[in-house]
Amino acid sequence: MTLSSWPLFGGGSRSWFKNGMPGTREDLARSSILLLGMTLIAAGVFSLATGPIPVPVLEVLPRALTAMMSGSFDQPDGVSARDWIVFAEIRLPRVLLGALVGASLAVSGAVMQGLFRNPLADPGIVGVSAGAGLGAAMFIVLGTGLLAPIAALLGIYALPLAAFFGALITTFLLYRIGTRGGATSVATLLLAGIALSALSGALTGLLIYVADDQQLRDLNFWGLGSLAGASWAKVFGAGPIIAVVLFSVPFLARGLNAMMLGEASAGHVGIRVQRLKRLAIVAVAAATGAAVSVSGGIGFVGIVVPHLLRLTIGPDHRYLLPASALLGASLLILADTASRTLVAPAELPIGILTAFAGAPFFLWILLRKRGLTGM
Amino acid sequence: MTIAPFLTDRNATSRELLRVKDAGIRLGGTQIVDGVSFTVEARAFHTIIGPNGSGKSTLLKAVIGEHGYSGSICLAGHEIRRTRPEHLAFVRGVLAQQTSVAFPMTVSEVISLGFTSNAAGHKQEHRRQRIRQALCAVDLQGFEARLYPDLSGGEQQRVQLARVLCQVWEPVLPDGTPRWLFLDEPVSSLDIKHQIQIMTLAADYARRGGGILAVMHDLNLTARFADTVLVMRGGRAMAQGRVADVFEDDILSTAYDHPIRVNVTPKDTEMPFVLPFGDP
Repeated sequence: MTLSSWPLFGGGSRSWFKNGMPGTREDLARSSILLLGMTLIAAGVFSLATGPIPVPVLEVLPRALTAMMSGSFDQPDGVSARDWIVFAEIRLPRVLLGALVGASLAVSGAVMQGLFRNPLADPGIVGVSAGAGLGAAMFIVLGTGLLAPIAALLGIYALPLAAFFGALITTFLLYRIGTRGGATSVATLLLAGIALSALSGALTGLLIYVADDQQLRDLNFWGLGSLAGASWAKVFGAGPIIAVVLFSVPFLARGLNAMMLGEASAGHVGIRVQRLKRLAIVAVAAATGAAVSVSGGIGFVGIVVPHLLRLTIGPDHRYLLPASALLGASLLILADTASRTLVAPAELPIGILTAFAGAPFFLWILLRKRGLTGM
Repeated sequence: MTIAPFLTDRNATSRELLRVKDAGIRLGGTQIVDGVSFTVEARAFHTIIGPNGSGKSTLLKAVIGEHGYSGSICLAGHEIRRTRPEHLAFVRGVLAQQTSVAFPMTVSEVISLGFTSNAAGHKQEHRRQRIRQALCAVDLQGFEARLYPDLSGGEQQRVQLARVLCQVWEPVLPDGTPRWLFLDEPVSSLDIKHQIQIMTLAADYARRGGGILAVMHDLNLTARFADTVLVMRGGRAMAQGRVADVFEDDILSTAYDHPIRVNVTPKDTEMPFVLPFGDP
């Protein structure tokens, strides 16, 4: 696989800034992706520098990078021990985790909306996150007893995998319930999402009932949605799964574009629709599961980010998916920075912040006529 | 009541043919199409007519691979149910009765989806020109940047036709295999000028070597443009053959269960002119 086979770089147009076709937004989309990439870097550096203990990031970062180039992950010369601990053990894993979670939430939303052909489909709203939470809760409570051998075998990947299977089962059920004869009814989808969320919630509640104290503390974390528990173990547990999804979804872009015409027409222009649907469902479940396993339920990122991008760069998934990843990562890093500084030294759960911004936005989409296309 | 063999050229090879043999389609326990057989060749404009619920659209759906079927349906020598979508997309385009688009796309973005099956083979400059030509062909010059949801129903239908044209632009592949356009009531949402224009476009595609199979409601447009016609009634093929042979008072009256009179207009060359009559 070469870079040019990656849809963003290939797909018929080799040069990035050539005049695009009239009526397409490809040039705008390409420059937006560059801009969003720079935004992500800026947001990351800003977040690393922000917090109760001031860290001279612009001095630490280049030294850390130079040290890393030569294969050392230890404290570089010229950086104080205190600065290094705050930078490398607290802020850096948190920023990286925020980027991974934000990117996976936004991309899951974009893929799911493309699959269901509706701007309101989102893992959080249709109960996929709740399913992932249930999977994770089952693992936390039963992982010490019944599932202990499996847990030991999978190590740090056990929790993301448990959440992945919870998300996978929920997404699959949703698709079976919501789609009849090739058409997805959004009303059925949202209602089925409510029912599945409630069911996952009830089962999670049952698990809370039988959980011991330590398990309870771990479980409590799911309800809130927070990056406060960020650690390198979480980055390395969820990171590879999310990275695989992020780099493979662009291959679904052509199919998701064709799906905008409906399932039947997508088949007529040459897409293997059943295979596309299966791959998209697995991708959404993996990304949502990995994100939920490290951060709990953080809502609305998956709706707000792809929708804003569709309004500006258009719905072409070749650009929408990478742009969603970059904007989702930037937004979540910034929201997390706010959540840990607004009421310092205490912390607001980030889920509260995203809900405050996202819920009114969701209503705004509902009220706009064009947002209802396909309802 | 078979009037004449549908196949006109006895020397046509299998890659130039659409062969339907004893096709049956069941939907929800009802036999919608039952034992339909016909063979048609490219380089001609073929139509399917019949009353509502006669199974003509369902038959077309089986031919384009959207429905399962019993019996055999072969396009260019390939059994439809065993052929992958990406191969089918290469030899035939499909225009549905109506196509909704999920997100507000521009006209140009919608038409670009016609390049899905051969995306890597087209340079951007080439595509841009192709889109412009396709828009010209459907009389929508300069519509590239318009938003699809803002267009009227008839304009949307013509944009979709432009997309299908971009998918199978050349009527004949370099190896001589004809391509096909399958059209489900292509002109029912159009005004009369654009009805004529789109039918002319389809007839021209057939004249240049491609194949056309269209489900039609308007009998006069069918008479004016089609080469052959298959009459469906109650899931069966009631009659098939050249338009001039099939368009008879008693055949059409039986098919539609309503008195119909066919006149041949004297000025025009043998073109049947269909009039429904009977007490209103």
